Amino acid sequence: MDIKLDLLRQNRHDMARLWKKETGGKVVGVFCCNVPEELIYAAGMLPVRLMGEKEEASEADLHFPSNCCPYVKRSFDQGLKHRYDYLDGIIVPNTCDMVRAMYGTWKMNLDIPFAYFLEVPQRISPRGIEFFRERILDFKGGLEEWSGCEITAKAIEDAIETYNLNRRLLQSAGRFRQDGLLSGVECQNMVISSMFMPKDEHNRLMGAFLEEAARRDTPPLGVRLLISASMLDNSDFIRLLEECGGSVVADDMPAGSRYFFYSVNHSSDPFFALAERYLVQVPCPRKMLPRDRFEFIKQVMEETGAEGAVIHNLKACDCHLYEYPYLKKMLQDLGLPVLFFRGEETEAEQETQRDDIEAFIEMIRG
Amino acid sequence: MAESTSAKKHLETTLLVPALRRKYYAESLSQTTGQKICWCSNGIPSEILDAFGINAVFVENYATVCASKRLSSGFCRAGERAGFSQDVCGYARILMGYLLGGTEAPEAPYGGLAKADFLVVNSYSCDSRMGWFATMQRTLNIPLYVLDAPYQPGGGCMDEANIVYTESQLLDFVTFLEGQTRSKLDREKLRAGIDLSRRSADIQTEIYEMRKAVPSPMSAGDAYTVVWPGMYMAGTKECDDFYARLRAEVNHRIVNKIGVVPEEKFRLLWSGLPFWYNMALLNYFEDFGGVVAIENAYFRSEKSFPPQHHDPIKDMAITSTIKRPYAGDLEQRLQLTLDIVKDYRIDGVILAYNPSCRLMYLLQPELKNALDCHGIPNVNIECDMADERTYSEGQIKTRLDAFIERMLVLRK
Repeated sequence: MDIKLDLLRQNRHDMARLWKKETGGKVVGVFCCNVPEELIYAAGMLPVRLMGEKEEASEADLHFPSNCCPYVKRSFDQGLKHRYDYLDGIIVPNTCDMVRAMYGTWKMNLDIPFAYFLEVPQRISPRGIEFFRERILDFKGGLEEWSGCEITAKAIEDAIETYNLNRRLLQSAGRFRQDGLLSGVECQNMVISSMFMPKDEHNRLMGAFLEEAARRDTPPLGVRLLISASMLDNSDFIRLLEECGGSVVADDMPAGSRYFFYSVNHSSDPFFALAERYLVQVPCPRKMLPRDRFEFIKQVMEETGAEGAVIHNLKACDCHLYEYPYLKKMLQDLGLPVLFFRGEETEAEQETQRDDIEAFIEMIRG
Repeated sequence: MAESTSAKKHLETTLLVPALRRKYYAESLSQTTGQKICWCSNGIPSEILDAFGINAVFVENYATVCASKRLSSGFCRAGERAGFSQDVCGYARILMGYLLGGTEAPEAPYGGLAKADFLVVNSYSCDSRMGWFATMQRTLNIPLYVLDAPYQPGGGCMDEANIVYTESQLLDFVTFLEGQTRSKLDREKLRAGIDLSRRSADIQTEIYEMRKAVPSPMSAGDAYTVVWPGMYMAGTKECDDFYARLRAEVNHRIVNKIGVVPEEKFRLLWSGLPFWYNMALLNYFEDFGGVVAIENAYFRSEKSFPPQHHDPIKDMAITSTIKRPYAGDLEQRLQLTLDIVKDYRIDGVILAYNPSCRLMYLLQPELKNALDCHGIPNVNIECDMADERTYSEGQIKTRLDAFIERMLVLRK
C-alpha cells in the first residue's frame, strides 16, 4: 500500500490532467497551509499543492539565487519545465518571503490565466481574524469572477464537511502511526497525496486504507521519534529515519499534522470559521509566536511516548531557523535528545545524514 | 577595535551624521527620568513613539554600527554559537551575539545599547525581523508588539479594507504603548511629528531628484550615510534642519558643477545593500573616473501623501498602506530600477547579492535578467551586508576591474 501512495505523488500530474479531461474543471495550484482550499473545491475546481522534484533546479537557477528555500525554488523549476502546464490558476498566500515572491515570479515567467494573492495577517488577533475573513470573501469573489460561477453556501458547507472528514481520517492515521499500525512514511504519504487528490476521492482511499491497517498485527516499533520540520514535500527523509531504526510517531510539519490537526468549526458564518481555522489554528512559525507554537508541539507529542526529536530545517527558511535554538531547548527540557539538520534535502545530502541518524538512534537505545 | 574602512565623504553635511548618531545612542543610555526604552525594527513609525516620549532604539542600525566598526565577525560568531544559523540575517546574528555572546563577544560600540523595556516589530518587511524579535522576546523576557499591515503585491493600493485593518493595528499599538507608559497618546504632538516627518521626506525626495545632475553631486558613499537621520530621527526638527542643509549643499554643487570626481567618465547604480564593513568600496570606482551616482535600496521618487484626516492615526494608516518599499509587484520593482538607470544616465549596475537579506537578495537574479535583456552592463558580487567574513577583497576587486574594462569598451 505504501508503494501505491508513493506512486500517487509520482503520477500526480497525470492524475490532474485526467481529472481535468474528465470533469472539464479547472486545476488550481496552491502554496502553504494557509489557503482555505475548501472554496476552490466548492467552486468545482481541483486544488493541488505545488511541489518540487529532487533534480537540479536548472531552470529556476536562472531566476533565483543560491541561498533560498529549495522547496519553493524546485516547485517553480517544475513550472518552468512545463510539468505544471495544466494549471489554470495559482493561489499565493502571504506566508513567507519566498512564497510571497512566487506571486510575481510565476505571473511574470509562466503563462497562468489566474493568479490570486491571498493576504494573511501576520498577527493573530480578533481584528486579524475579521480581516482575514474579509480577505477570504474577496478570494471567493475572485474565484467566482474568474470562473463565472457562483460558489453557493451549500457547496461551501459540503466542502467544509468533506475537508473535515479528510482531517479526521488523517488524524486517525496519526493515531495509527502512534500505535505502530502505520509507519511514518505511510502516514506522510497519506498527507501528501491528500494535497493533490480530490478530497472526496482521497477520503474513499483513506477509508479503505485505514480499514486494512486496522487489521494489521502491530509490529515492534523502532525508537519513537518526533519530527519538527519546515516543508518536506516527499517522504524520503522520514523513510531515512525509519531505515535507520527510528519510528516517527508524531510530527510538527506543514506537510504533516499542521495540515490536518484542527478541523473547521461548524458555524452559521462559514467564512469566519475558515478564517479562524486557517489563521489561528495552523501553527506556522511565520505568524505564531514561539510560546504558542511550542504549546502545539507539546500537544502533538502528548501520549506518543517520543524518545527523541529530529529537527529538519530547509536552508534559508528564516521562519524555522530562528526558532531552532529555543525549540531545541524546549525539547531538551522535556527530556528529549535532539538531532538537528539544516540543508537542501538532496539525495547526496541524505546519504551524509544517515550516519548521524544511526548514531543518534543508537545513543537513545543506549 | 579593527581598522575602519568607511567611505570617503564628499559633502560637508554628511560629516555631521556620526555626531548625530553618537548623540542618539548616548541619549538613550542616559535616560534617568523613567523614560521607556523600546527596541524596534526599521519601519516602525517612530512619530508615535516620540509622541509618547518613548526612546526608540533601532537595533538594525546598531548592527550596521557594529559592522562598520569591523566587529561583525566576532558578534556573528557569538550569535552562531548561540544556535543561529549562518543563513539568518547578519544584523540579527550580530544582535544575538551581542545579547548572548557574554565574554566571547567583542566590546560593544558606544558602550552598548540602553536596556529595553519592550520590543516592537513590523510584520510587513521580512520574515527575519519577525523571527529575530520573537527570539529577543524569549531571550529578554519582555513584552513584544507585532505591528501588522497587509503586504499588497500590487505596490500598494487604496483598498478600504486594507486601510481599516492597518488603522486597527495602529490603534492596538497605541493601546499597547498606553499600557507600557501608563499615559495617553498626545495626538497634537503626533500630528506635529508627522508633519515634520513628511517635510523631511519630501526634501529627501527632492535631493534624489537633484542627483540626476551630471556631474554627480553626491555619491552613494554619502547617500548611505545621510539616510540615517531620516530613518532614525524622523519627525524631529533636527532631522528637518539636516535635510534642508543637505539640499542646499547639493544644490550649490550642482550650480557650480562640482562633481564627485573631477572628470566624470561613467555613472553606476548600486543595487542592494552596501557592505557596511567596507563602505570604501563605493569609492573604488572614483580612481577610474566613475561614480556610484545612485542606489536603489532606500530610493524614493514620490512626494509624501497629503493629509486626509484630522486624526493623525487615520492618515498614518493610509500612508503606510498605500506605499511601502519592497512591497511592490516584481515587474514594478524591476521597472523601478530600469527607470533609475534611464533617469540617472547610468552606464552600469553593481548587483550586491546580500545572501542573508532575503528581501533584497531574491530580486537580484531577475533584475540581472532584465538588465541583460536591455543591454545594460552589470556585475554581481555576493557578500553579506553585515557579516564581513563573506568578503574577499582580492576577488571582488578583480571582478570589478574586469567589469569596468568591459563597460568602458561597450561605451566606445
